[in-house]
Amino acid sequence: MAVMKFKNVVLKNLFSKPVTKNYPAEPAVYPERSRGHVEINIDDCILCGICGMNCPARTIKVDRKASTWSIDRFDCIQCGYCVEKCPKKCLTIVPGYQEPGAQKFTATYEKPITVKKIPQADMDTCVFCTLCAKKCPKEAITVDRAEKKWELNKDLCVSCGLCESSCPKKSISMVEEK
Amino acid sequence: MAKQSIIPFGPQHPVLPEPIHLDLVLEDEKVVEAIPSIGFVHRGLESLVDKKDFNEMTYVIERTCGICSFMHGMGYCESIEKIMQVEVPNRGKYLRTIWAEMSRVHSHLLWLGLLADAFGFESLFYQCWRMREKVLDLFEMTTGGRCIFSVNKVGGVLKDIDDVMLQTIKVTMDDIAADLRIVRKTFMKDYTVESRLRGVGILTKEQAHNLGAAGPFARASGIKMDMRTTGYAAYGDLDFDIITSDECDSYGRCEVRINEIFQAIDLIGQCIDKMPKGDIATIVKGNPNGEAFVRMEQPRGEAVYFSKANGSKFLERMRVRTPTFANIPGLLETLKGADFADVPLLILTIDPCISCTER
Amino acid sequence: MEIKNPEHVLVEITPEQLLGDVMAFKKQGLRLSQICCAYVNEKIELSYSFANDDTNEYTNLRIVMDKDTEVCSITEFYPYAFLYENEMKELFGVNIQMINLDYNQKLYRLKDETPFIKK
Repeated sequence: MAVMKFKNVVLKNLFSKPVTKNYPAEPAVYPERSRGHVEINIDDCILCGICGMNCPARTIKVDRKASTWSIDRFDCIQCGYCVEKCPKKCLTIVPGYQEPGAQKFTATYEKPITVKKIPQADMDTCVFCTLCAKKCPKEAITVDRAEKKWELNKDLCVSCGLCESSCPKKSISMVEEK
Repeated sequence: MAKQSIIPFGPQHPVLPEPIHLDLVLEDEKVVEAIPSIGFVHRGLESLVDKKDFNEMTYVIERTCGICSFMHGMGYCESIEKIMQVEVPNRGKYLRTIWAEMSRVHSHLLWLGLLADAFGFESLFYQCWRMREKVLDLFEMTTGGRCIFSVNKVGGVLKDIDDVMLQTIKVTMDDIAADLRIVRKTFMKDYTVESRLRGVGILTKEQAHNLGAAGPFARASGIKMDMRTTGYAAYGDLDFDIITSDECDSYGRCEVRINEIFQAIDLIGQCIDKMPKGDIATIVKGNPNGEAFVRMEQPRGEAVYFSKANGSKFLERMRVRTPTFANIPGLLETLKGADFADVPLLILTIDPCISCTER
Repeated sequence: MEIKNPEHVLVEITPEQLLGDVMAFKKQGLRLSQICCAYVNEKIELSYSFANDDTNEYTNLRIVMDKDTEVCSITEFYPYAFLYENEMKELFGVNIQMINLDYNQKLYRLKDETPFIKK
């Protein structure tokens, strides 16, 4: 007979414990990789603004004048692209979702204003390989191999230090701007 | 001659998770004709290519749909990789395949639950969704998201699955297979279920071909068609057959999907056994220039991704043709001659995903 | 399972050639996979894709034309093309004549006319 095929399952379910959790009395457990919200280590942040430019939801705002980094957590889509793009790796995405609220608000982090650091190439050791210019996220460095020229556009530079770490000859150093 | 009447069906209906509207022309209780009307959730995602660069578009495209989101991101990335002639490392390909097959397991289990709900078998519905929950937990463990994974990028994937996690996936998948074997008996052999499915919504092989049906809907009519045989991602290294059924009715569609879950679980096992070591992504430099079509087998059928780039970081055009778009004409055909009471069930058998369709 | 992945074929044609070519594909028993429209350099680009599911061959017919050029509907041969054609007509304003089931700009519920044409 092809009836009552589901009987055994029903009986088993009747005498076993519920599969659901007694939420919210028991808290939900999130795995380690859960993408909850973006966190920033503001001490390492250099306010370069690359996260804000690349955010698909345009939810991160970086104000270099006021020296602040802010995020609207309600607009954030937790994609993790900013974490991927951050040159200083000071952004992380950690478990824990934003609590619901009646109004949207922006979380702002302030960084004490410090003297801007800019890269300077040591012309004696530089081989004009143009690696720094290629790495620069703002295209602030121009290198001309024929004329042996290494130039920096100070206004564009965001002091990320990528040029310093990418230089094969270690001839770039970050110095305080005069 | 019987009296004709027109009954509007949807956009709000208990069986529909998403809005679609049908005008049903009835003769007594029989449907004579159905006229579809979509466009309630058109968001214009494709036109966002003007505002988001080609890397950001990955995150936009995967938000087309909440169920097949991974495959949308993967299809889009593969189309850009094809334009830029980037070769994804082997491990990246295998990881993509695992996630894609897990998406298939979860999508088909979701569909089985909805089907059970549509013919009024509530406890079977819960049983299916309970199994699906395990897949969602695996997604959260490996990618960090339950529906939107955000692990694809042009050139590979962002997150690796380590050996411990791979073993967890394997064990859980075996559990699901064991549970599914019990549930399959109810779907395939139970008298009441069979009487709701057998002979309902017949679409012959010829009709299915002439109406351009895709995916499990076409395979249930005996058409051998599966985009995985084009060998994208790691499918070229894996061993699988095209699952078809000659029933041509709702029962056949249910059978095909259940068998595809077992097949997907088997494919995940093969991937884990063969998993190569190495990088998960290649570094991609520059902007794409050119155009490419990529076809993929989504849980619902063939999806086509078209990208056209002009050398700047913004694409010229991005298009997604989703399987439901191809299956709507087939649905209209199956509705002709069906009982009015079977209409919700028949709409469900194409596994409609309306927000995908309208984008 | 045998893997078959032949290169996709792209054939450029004029709007007048369309019906003849489509009829030939219909006779070969190919399936219409999709129709796509793009607006590039103030020209409309239509791609009609046909798939052979036994050999996985994929053929694209490409028409590049001006915005107001008329193109005939292919619903005569492929009735299920009506959704694609209505979509193109609505989003891009492609001048498609004689669609079997014409929604007259009512397929999607849009605020603007032809939103995909960049101004």
